[in-house]
Amino acid sequence: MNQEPLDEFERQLAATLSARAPAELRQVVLNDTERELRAACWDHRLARAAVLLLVVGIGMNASLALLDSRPHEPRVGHVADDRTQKSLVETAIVVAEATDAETGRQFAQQMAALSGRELTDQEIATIDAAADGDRG
Amino acid sequence: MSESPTHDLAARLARGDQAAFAELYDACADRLHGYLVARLGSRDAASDVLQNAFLRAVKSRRRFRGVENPVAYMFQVARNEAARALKKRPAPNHVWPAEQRIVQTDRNAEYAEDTEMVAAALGRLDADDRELVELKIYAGLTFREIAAIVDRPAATVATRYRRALESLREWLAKQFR
Repeated sequence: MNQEPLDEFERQLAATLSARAPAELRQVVLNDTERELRAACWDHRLARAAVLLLVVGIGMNASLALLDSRPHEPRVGHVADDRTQKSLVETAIVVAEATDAETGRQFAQQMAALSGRELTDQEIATIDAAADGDRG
Repeated sequence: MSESPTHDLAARLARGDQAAFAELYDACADRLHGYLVARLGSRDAASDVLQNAFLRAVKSRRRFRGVENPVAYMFQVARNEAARALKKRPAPNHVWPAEQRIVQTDRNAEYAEDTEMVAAALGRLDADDRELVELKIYAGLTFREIAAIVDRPAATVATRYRRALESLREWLAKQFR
């Protein structure tokens, strides 16, 4: 194969086409690039914010679940028990007033037993006193 | 050991460095455009495909991490974009637009008094061979770079290219005999 004429032929072929990129195309392409990179940057920030919120949400839910799972957390438990007990005694007094002290007392003892507790002497005395007072 | 300039450029491109994309454009835009004009037969279509190719490269910039030669990689991207553009419209008949033709000189008048004759000769080649000629002559790539793009051994690319060129020359010689 004759190499030299082929080289010359290559040059002739190359000379048949002058196709430099238009000057204005550079700015168009670089503007596209800048816009795309900026959009990607915002996408990245939004994605990070979404992940952060997700992690915070999961953390908060996990904390609440842990708090709820503790068996008689002292402060909250006492408040709830006191309110329940007070309400039970008040209801028992209403029952005692409508019937008699014995029925009121039995009602209160039964309800307290359902929640695994017993009436204190003071609570029984309060129910009796309320029933007696109503009659007196 | 310091990184080679192309590796450094690839790393900056992968990070989304805008200046790196400007460097890449300056390094290959003219050659890419020449290749695309030859491929698509239209200056406007070549500009559109070049623009789309860069946009695609920016969107998938993380792929530059594993790239040794960003310029050769851009030719792959542009080649794929050109294939998409060609699917959307009929194949070019390789009659190049008037503004692409240069005034013939005495030097090349022996083979190609009319650039349309060269275009017709290119059109006669097998599609794969024609692309080799376009990548070598109009894109100015080395056989090694072309081999990476068309996924063939460099020796095969060189042999096929020379055979295609011989075929072109013979056909043109007959036309002007």
